[in-house]
Amino acid sequence: MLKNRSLLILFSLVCFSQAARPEAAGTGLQISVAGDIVGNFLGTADNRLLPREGEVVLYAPIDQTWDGALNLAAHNEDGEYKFEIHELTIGSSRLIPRSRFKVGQYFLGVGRLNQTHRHDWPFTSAPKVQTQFLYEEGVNDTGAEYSYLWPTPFYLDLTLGITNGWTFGHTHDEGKGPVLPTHYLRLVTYNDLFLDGGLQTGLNYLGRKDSSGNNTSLFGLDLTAKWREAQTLTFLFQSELWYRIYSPAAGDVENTIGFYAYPQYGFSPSWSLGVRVDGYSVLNSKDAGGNNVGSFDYGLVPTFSYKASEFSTIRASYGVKGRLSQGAVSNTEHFLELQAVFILGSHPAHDF
Amino acid sequence: MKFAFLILLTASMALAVDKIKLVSTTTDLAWAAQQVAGVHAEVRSLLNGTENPHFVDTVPEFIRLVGEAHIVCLVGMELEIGWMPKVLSRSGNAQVQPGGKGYCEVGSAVTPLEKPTGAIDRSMGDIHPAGNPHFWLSPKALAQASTAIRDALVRVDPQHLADYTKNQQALAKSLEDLHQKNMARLAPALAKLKGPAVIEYHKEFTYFFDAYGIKSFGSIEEKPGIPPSAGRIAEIAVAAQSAGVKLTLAGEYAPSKTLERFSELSGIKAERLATSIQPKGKNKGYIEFQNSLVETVLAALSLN
Repeated sequence: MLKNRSLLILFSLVCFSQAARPEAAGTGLQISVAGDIVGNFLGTADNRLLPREGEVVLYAPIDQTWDGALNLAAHNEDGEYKFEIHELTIGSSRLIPRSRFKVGQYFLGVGRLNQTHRHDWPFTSAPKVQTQFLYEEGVNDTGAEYSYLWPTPFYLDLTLGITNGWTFGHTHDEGKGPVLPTHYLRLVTYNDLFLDGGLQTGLNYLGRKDSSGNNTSLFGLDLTAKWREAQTLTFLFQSELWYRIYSPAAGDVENTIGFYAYPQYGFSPSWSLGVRVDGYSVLNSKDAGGNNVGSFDYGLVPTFSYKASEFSTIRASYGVKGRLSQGAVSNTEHFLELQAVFILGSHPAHDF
Repeated sequence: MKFAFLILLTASMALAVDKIKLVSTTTDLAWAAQQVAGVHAEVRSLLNGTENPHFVDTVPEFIRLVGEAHIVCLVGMELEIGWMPKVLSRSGNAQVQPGGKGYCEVGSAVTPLEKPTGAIDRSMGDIHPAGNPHFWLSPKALAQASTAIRDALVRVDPQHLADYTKNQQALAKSLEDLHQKNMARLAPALAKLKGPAVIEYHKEFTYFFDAYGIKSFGSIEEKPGIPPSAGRIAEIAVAAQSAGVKLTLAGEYAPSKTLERFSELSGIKAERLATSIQPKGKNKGYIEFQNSLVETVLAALSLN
């Protein structure tokens, strides 16, 4: 069944690619294909190289008012490759002054990693705060998102969104109707920095109450700073700090904090070295006796990247992660990751 | 007295509101746009003339400025394809997006050079299907481009059509005069040359060479936008030296080590120059900028 469905999708893609040939020019249809091959070695990894994700994105103006986008991705889930819709939206940045909005299925416009396709991340795998709060691949859902650019003398952009909330994160089941749908907002501003650098700051909130009455509230701060000299991104700093309040329908409230900080230095347009520092802690974790047992999960991931152009990346990371609890280190794990990413066809312009 | 002050303040605010807000991607387009718009527009450039316009981030401040603009002028020919589409769509400003009356892609008015024929793909480097986009270094091409700016101003502000037409004609005349003057300065030196006198790092001086009939040996880059290999540098250095090339021109952002190596192997002097008008220094206006380029070439030919 899956094979037939995949073949059907592939057939559709071939039709689309034919439609995008030069003789069909004038429709504005852009097609982008991304390949992401990742190998995990050492530690508890399965020591092999596998395609992590193949992604096909089609986007174009539908007419003078609307834009459409379709993002299909096949990815490895427990050894099986599943082809599915990641994003399917209709939206506009031409209908309401200073506004953008979209309706459909999409990755929610909160945080930094959640809005960026994994093959565009500056490192290979997600930090723990992402996997625990917003899941490895990010949270996508069906709903509506509206953004407004404030008429202020500095950059200020507000995004509001609401989605079905039947599921949260990456799932393949239908889920159940929530008590309170997933709702979120993001406020972004920008400041010039010394030496022609710039800093984008985002404040985020996401909330939902699932069908069982479990309430989740997420509060986040994301920072992205860049310094560029011509073709070389000389310095990048990317960081997210999230705080989660999880109130189950029955039981104690759980307060958790997590972050990652990733400084990266670019030696040339092609070569860069970064080190990601991760932290994650359940602030009110208790043992069976009800005593507070503070613990801190850490990670340190040096990452070396080579970009022959903006359309290909070869990356190697050697990292260590573990847990600090009551003065003792445990669960230490060393890991090696190798990654190859390529882009075929068009590639949408990047955000800052 | 207070009343008079209020009237003056209101009048000046009304005038300010009446002015067209024109945003351009590059400083050269901003300069041309200000000449054409005259007193009717407030013109601002997103870039400051020191960046490589191929490689720019989607800076949020650009989105804010474009969000407030009545007209946005781009070089086009896919020069800004990596960042401007996002700036335009994120602005939520329908008027300046493709299809809007304030969208002004000036490259469409220019006769393109080096437009590729036949099949192209990325193995050939950063090829622009619409042709070489670095046209503003030619006064003649910039004059052509200014017609697109005039047309955008007329679409947005038709009541000042006569002014825009007159200003564009005056700009075209001044650019033609500048071209003739510099042509006369260069002609004696160029007449004595038997072969190509210059080479460029990236093909961004091509329109400048074309405007003045300066024969170029080509580029150090083998493929546009791709840093040359050690082998390519050696090969092109020997070839350029044999051909009697006298000067290498490169943008300020070209890799200095590559240029040093090329000069070392070929004995040809390399000049890293501004490729756009800059807010400070000797390239503040287009005429100064153009004269500076001409003087650099003349100096290399030892005939200044």
